[in-house]
Formats: sequence, structure tokens, C-alpha cells
Amino acid sequence: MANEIYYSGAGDYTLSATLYRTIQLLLADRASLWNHPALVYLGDLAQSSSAAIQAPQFGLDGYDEMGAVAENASTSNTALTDASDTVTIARQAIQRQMSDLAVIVNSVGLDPVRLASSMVGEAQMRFTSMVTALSANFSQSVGTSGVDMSVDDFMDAGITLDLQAVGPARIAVLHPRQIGDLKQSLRGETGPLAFVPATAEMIAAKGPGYQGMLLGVDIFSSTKVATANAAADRDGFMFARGAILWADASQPLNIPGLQEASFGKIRVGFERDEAGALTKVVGNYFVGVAEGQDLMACRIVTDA
Amino acid sequence: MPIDLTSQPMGGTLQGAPVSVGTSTVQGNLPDLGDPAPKFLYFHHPRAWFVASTEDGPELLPLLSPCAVEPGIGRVDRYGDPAGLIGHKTSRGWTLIPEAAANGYTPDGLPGYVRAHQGRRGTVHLPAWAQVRLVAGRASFSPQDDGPKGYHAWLRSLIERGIIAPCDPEIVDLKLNDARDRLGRAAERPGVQQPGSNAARLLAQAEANVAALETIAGQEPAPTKPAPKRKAKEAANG
Repeated sequence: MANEIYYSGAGDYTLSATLYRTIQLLLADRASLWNHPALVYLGDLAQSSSAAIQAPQFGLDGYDEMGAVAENASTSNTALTDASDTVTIARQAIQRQMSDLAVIVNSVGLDPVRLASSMVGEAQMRFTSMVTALSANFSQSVGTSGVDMSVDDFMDAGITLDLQAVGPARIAVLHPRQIGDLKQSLRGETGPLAFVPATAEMIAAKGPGYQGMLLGVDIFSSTKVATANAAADRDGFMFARGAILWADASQPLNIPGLQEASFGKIRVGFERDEAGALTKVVGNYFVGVAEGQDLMACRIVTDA
Repeated sequence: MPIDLTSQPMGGTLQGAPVSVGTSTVQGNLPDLGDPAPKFLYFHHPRAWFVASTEDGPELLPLLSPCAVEPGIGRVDRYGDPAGLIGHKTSRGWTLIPEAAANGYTPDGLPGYVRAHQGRRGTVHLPAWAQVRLVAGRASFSPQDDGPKGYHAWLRSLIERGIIAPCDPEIVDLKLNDARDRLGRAAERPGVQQPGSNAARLLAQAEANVAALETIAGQEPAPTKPAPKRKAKEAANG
């Protein structure tokens, strides 16, 4: 036998590998807290005359209570307690650049338009990082340094908030290590603890980081949860609505001739370098987050 | 320029560079250290303390808060100026730990307490006492080789040098009370009598925590098994 046509000898008309024509995503934590109802959205600062927004708080609707007054006595003024929290927005951005040749020969859909639409996800994850970075800004804490998180730590955080009369609508944002330790601890529980694991419908409604509900508290997982105690621990937290405030701004620039795409509050601009045959894609998002009322949150500092 | 995932470092301990809070960061063809972590300033709230296991036994040390210093986070302005953050915190009783307070106490002998580790997805800022290790191409963060000993020594020095006020004895009492409550709950958990069970492990942890706090408070550790919850509470209330 001779002159068989083998693949190994067909170098002139085969490729070492062909391309799967769908973009595959690299593994990353894409669980976002964007627009979660537990976070208080203070508003859109476009055309507000300031990059900061102040949220006043008043001691009304039962903060002070009435006092007994004798029939023949006059009552006196009760001081109105007030406070405020401020959120300052700032620019968050990402830039990529692609040559025309790379666009022309690309067969998987990776081009400046795809890079632009990807910037929504990049803005979401930046926002989530900004929120998780606030965990250390609260003064209350539970957990034991160097000891795995347990159901008791979770309960301690809840009790800490109970003691401050914090309302029941709470969420906990924990590092996956803490989630794993918590689940391990839950395995040994034989009492009436109610852990409701996330179903596909719940994840669809609440986002990919949603893990389930324990003792009425929504649990979210994020790799962005910071370290504590020289990286010995992780710094998760449990909080109620009012502990985290945020604001952003839409970008009505109205600049003639500007090549741009808008994804809600995220504006993506395209910049051409004709001489270099390059297209620059720049995404901008103006957002700010800040801690609100300190006693409405509790850090959960446990082994990393 | 795209980054080729097949050409990354696979092992070793990475050296963090000293960074002054307020400088910009860069990216490049670097190991994957995971998500970036922002620059920070340490603050301390007078109520925030934790029980540390030290060579001399249990010790109550300040639990510091690494507050992020990046535009848009926690009142840091658009230029990265942390004045708004510092003003907000200090007006509410928090103490700013100056970066210079770490000079002479860091394991690498470099000034400041923030170290920048350049990763592919951005810069990971960690305390000077933490390290980044690459094991089989995966990054992990941990205290330096001597464990948290150096970090604990620095925390101790913050009190000794008057940067942080000593812990109010009332805080120790409150923590002890909370620990005894937890011990009471742990003692009532089903299956606690079964050796090796999760309930028994949690009980042992709770007992150790109470013993540590009793040692810190200058009390004799309880020699016997914990009392039921109500009795434990009564004992705590004096």
C-alpha cells in the first residue's frame, strides 16, 4: 500500500487547531451586588451641582417617646436628634485597545463592540468590590481570629444586630472560605435551624452569588471579601438596609461627533487612532459607596 | 496586549513593595493573584478587640479596620484624598493609625504598613505582615512565616506607645458575657455529649474562648463543665 492521505501529512490544508466560534469566559467571580435592595440608592447625581450627596437622618417616628406630664405641669421641648451620611461619587474606568488587523481576522466575535458590552460586567464587579471593601468600616464584630466560621458566629452576628433593634431584612456577604466553613458547621446541626439553600429560581432572581437563606438572612458569596488580621482571617459582614449607601451618575455628555455606546449609567467611548489602525475602547462609570449607620452592620472575622 | 495564561510564575513567595497611600497602580504580565484589593488606612474603634493566641497565652489585642482609600469608596474623593474618610471616622471616635506607626515593626524593615503586590487583574494591597505565596500557580494569602507573631507585636506596641488607648475593662466584661452566652447555647446543642461531633467541637471552642477571656479578665478559668444557659447568664451578671 502507498500514497495514503494521512492527516499527519496534510499540513498544507489543515490547521493545528481550529477555533470554537463562541467566546468562552475565563473563570472569575461574577456575583454582583449591583442594585441589590439591601443597599440604599441615594440617586443619580447628574446635573445635581455636586459630586457628593448627603442623606439626612432624623430621630422621628418613635426615636423619642412621649413622657408623662402631671395635670398641672407644662411640658418642655424635646431636642430633635439628627445625623447625616455622605456619598461621594468618583470615576471608575477600564480601557482596552485592539488593532484593525486583530479585528479583521478574528472569527470568534472578539471586537471593539464585544469589548464595549463586556464593560457592563466590569462595572458591576467594580461596584461589588467597592461594597465589600466597606466591611472593615463598621465597629461591631464577631468571630474568633484563626477559627473557622461556624453557625454560632452567624448567630452571634444576628444577635449583635438584634441588640441594636436592627430590622429583620438582612443580608450577609461572606468569602467562599467562610461559606464553606459555615456549611461544614451546618452539617453537624441537629436542631431546628432553617437553612434554605438557593434554588435555580432564587439564583436567577437574586444573582449568581446567592447561596441561600439562614435564620432569615440572605447569604451572598464573594471572593472580593477582604482579608483581616494580616491575612489570617476574612472580613465578611452581615447588615441590614441602611448600612450601605450608594449613588451614581448618568453621563449626558452630548458631545457632537463622539463615538459612544451607552449601557445605562455606563458610557463607553471609542477612540480611533487611524495612523496606527487601532481602536481604543474606554468605559466610564461614576459611582460612590459609603457606610451608613454604623450599628446596622456587624463584621464577621473568621479564619481565612 | 493579551496575557498568555501559560507563561505565568508557578511557585514561590512574592515580595510586596512598600507603597504610599496616594500613588497609582500599574498592571502587566503578572501572576494571577485574584481580585485586586485597595490601598487602605488602618483605623481602630475603641470597642473593637479580639482574643489573640500568643506565646504568653491569650491576649486581647485591637481589631484594626483596614479602610479602603480609593476614589468613590467611603468618602474618599475623586482625587483619592482620604480627608473625608479620616474626618468621618475620627469624628465618631475612631483612631487613625498613621502609616509611620509601622516603621521599625515590619518584617521587611520597610516603612509604612501597606504593601503592593502586582497581579494580573490589578494590585493586591496587603498589610506588611501578610505574604502572598504561589503554590502550583495559585496564590494564597497568609501571615508571614513567623505566623501572626510580628503583627501581634506591632498591635501591642500601638497600645504601649499610646497610639491606641488600652481596652476598657468594661469591654472585657461585655465580651466575657457574650462568650458565656455562647457557651450556654453550645452546651444545650443536641449531640454535645457525643465525642467528635460538631456540637462537641463547638462546645470546646466556646469553652476555650470563655477560658481565654477569663484569663484576660484576671479571673480563674472555670474548672468544671459549663452551667446550663440560665445559670451561666446569672453568673455573668454577678
